[in-house]
Amino acid sequence: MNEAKWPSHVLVPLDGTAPSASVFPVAEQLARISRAPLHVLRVFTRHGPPDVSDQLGLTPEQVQGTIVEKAEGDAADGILAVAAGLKDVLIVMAMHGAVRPAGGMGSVAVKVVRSAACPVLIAHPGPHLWHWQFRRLLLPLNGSPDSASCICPAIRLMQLAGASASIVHVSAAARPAKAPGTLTTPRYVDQPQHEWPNWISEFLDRARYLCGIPKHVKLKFRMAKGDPAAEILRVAREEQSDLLVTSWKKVFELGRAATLKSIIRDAPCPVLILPIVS
Amino acid sequence: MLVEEGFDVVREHEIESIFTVSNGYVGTRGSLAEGISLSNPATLISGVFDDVAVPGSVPELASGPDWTHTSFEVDGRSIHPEHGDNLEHRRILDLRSGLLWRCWRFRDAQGRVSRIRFLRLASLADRRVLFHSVVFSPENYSGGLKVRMALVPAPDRPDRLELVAEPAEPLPEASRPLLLRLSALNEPVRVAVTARTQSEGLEQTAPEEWKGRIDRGQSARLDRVVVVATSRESPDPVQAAVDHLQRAVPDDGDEIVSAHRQAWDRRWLESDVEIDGNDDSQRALRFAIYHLIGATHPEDEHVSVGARALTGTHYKGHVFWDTEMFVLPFFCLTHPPTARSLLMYRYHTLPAARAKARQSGFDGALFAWESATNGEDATPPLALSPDGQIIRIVSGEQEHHISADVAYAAWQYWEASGDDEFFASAGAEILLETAAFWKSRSERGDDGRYHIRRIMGPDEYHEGVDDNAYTNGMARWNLQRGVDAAEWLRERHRDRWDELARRLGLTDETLREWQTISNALATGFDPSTKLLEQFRGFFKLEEVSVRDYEPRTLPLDSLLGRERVLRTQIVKQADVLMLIYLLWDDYPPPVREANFRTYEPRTDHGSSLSPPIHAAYAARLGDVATAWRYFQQTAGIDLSNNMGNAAGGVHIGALGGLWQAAVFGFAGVQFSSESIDLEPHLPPAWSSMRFPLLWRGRRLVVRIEPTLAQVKSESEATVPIRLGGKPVTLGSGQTVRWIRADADAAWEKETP
Repeated sequence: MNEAKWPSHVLVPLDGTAPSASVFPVAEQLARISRAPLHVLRVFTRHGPPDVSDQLGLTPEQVQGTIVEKAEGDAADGILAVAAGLKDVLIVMAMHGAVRPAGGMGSVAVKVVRSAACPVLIAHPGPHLWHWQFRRLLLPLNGSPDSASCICPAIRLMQLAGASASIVHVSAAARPAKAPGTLTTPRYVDQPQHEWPNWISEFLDRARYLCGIPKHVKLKFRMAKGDPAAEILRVAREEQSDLLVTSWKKVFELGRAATLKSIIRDAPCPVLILPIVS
Repeated sequence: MLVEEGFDVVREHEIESIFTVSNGYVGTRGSLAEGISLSNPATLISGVFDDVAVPGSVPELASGPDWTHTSFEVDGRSIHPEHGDNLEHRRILDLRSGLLWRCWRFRDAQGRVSRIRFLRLASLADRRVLFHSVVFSPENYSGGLKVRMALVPAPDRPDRLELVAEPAEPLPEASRPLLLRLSALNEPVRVAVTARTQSEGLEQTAPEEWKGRIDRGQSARLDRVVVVATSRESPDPVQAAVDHLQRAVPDDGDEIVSAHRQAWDRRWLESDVEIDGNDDSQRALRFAIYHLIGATHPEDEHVSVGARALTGTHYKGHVFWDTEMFVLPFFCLTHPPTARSLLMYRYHTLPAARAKARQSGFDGALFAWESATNGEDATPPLALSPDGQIIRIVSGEQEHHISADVAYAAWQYWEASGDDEFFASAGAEILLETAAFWKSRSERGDDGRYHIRRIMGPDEYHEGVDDNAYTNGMARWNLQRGVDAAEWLRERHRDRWDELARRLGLTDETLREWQTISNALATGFDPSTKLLEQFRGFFKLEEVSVRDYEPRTLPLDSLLGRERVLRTQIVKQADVLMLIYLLWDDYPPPVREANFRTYEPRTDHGSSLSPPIHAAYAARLGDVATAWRYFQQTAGIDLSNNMGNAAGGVHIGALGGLWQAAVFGFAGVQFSSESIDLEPHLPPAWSSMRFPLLWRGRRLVVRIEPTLAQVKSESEATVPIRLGGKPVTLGSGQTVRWIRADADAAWEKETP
């Protein structure tokens, strides 16, 4: 079974505004769950003040116990540089600043998500995050070994938090995947009374192995049909998911990653983006 | 040879199915002996079912003991494929010999390299015997080796039932055979497994443990022979297993292997389809034949072939129409005793089929849609789909065509074999009782025709329809053959006829009614279009182009929803086309062509049984390109590595269908009691095909090339053969050849 490992640092970049600060409770809780140091980062376009604690948009109580980092220059570059220095890190950030762009993510978030080699958790900013609790995890799996394998960190987090997990697989009109070991919905359903329970069993067996989910962890399985993003979001709302995990191959150009972009834009909860490492 | 290089752990379940060794009595999945994260070892024993015995549960094939379990330690450190470097790992299924080989080179954390070779078989020479051999060789070290070989109950999994160990007895002494007794929880069946192990280079230190120092360049070898016995054959399976091991099994493992190889040699001689020009086709066909032979037991007429054979627990070991319509034709023409045995299984389930007919308000025999031990219908009434819908399963209530399918298979076997004894003692009764069923199942309508209402054909997307073309067509055939069977019995086996007529209440009036209904049963045929309407109102449903939904990875009833598909002309699998394929000579060429062009574009192939029938049908039409596409699709059902189809066992019906696509399709073989017919349409990728046939006791060898067709008789008696409709009588030991100028030209008999 694949090993489940969760990053040993949590980094939350803030720009002093209320929207960016609203994700702090999420970062704080994840750091606490995983007993990881919480790094708070403020990036200045030029030299910032020596002590930036009062420019984070946080209360003194919130700042207490965190490691305050400072960077200069382009905001995204600064975030990426600090993250690279920490190596094994999760970046937690708001999707946008005060104004929500049409695509959901601001330019800084887009650049960080596109370029970061580490997991990135992004959330729509707002007061709804003040009391965020991690109880229910939603794992959309497309049946390919690559995308499932990179889910392991989320499973580790789920175990640390004592959260529950639901798996959703969306069947869509698509060309069969070529990767050996891919398991999509069965092309042949000779007899549904046998095929479906058998297929679910096989899908979950493989998911447990690839994602590092121990046998004793109960999983709820949902299959949906249609547009993957719309269906994942529908299930996330129905399951009242607190965290939605998605993997992707770091290709964010025009016309690519449409599912990821739609999920990010309309997600009802924070989204943890895990890079697929080939 | 089928070769799997390296490890792809997520594919382990499908690899285990594909690499199963099986002999029709017992099948063992190709699981790794040490067990890895996704191992699903199972040994399945034909006819050994269990039931959780809760409301709604059905009997299911129970997993027997894991007799291959082996572990290794070198100097106290475990050797395991998930904990070290696998320098080489290869599984080889030798289809010709029925041997599963495994070659494994492993480097542990200390840098010690070990080479381990495994051999496994389920003996075809003595079906109760299983055998595995392990040879361990240290390549770059000398050290202490400990090997454990255990007989253990199958690991507990939530998606299957396992036989459980009976209360433990004192462990036998090391010198005595090991014994494991198991039983089903809720079925009166017991299984005993006993083993004897011989070692070279190691000392036995405990009943299941061997130890010794082994030097670099040397090898240690353990040969374990295992005997299985069940309470199905013997009231005391423990004693039966021990006796068989001690009296009937050679001490020398090589003798066991040799006898097994010879048994496979004989079966391949009777069955092989040799293809020149395309290795993938050759591999797929031999893979199919290997599993067909391994699925069946010609000497046990109380078991049949489940949908996944003995290669996995999916489909619970239940027997469907797959066996009679897809699997059995292969045996009719290659190994008649097996075909007979499969039909006798149905004969023995006639009491349950009669009871089902009665319970449904009909006469005669209605066979179970899903059959397990005694023929009682084991179809689960409900299914929970992965999107949370509860699906009511009506196939057990409505797929009555199974009765005609069994009758068709009995008649087909009789025609192919000339086994009058079978037909008089069993086959005819099947024909008569199923004809009686169809008589009671048909209703006379205001139009003066007879109709079969509220039915489901092979197209399971449409439930509760009236006058399904397949069902009605097969029922017409069944009623007519019922009359024929009665007349044959009356003429040739008067006593048997008198007994059956008395017991079944058959009179001349009964036979006249059967004939009347057969003649007047609605067919759905429209002479103006030459089409058979799949059921009444089918052509009024929404027309949907199935191709518009390509590419896709799931059937259309899943993609569009069952309710939506119900209102369309989307067909799950060959239905009208299945009817025409089976009764080919009853339909003139324009009808065959028109229906194929109409139904093929509407067919979803949501069942694995559909592509092979389309391949065979298209080949018979001469549409070789379409036939080739469907042949390849069929070949990939179990062997493609990106669908996971085979995880719970191979699709034995589709494998039988693949053989039919080659022999009945590309070679164009058809048979009756009068002659063997050929109409070859070889795919361009094949430069030749060669196969044996056994027809009415005469052995023939057929060879087909693009411009040559040749049949050689290897029997004493003459054989009437037709090619392109022209009859030839082949004398003893003779060879007849037809040639043509090119693939489009007519065949001409070659004159010496």
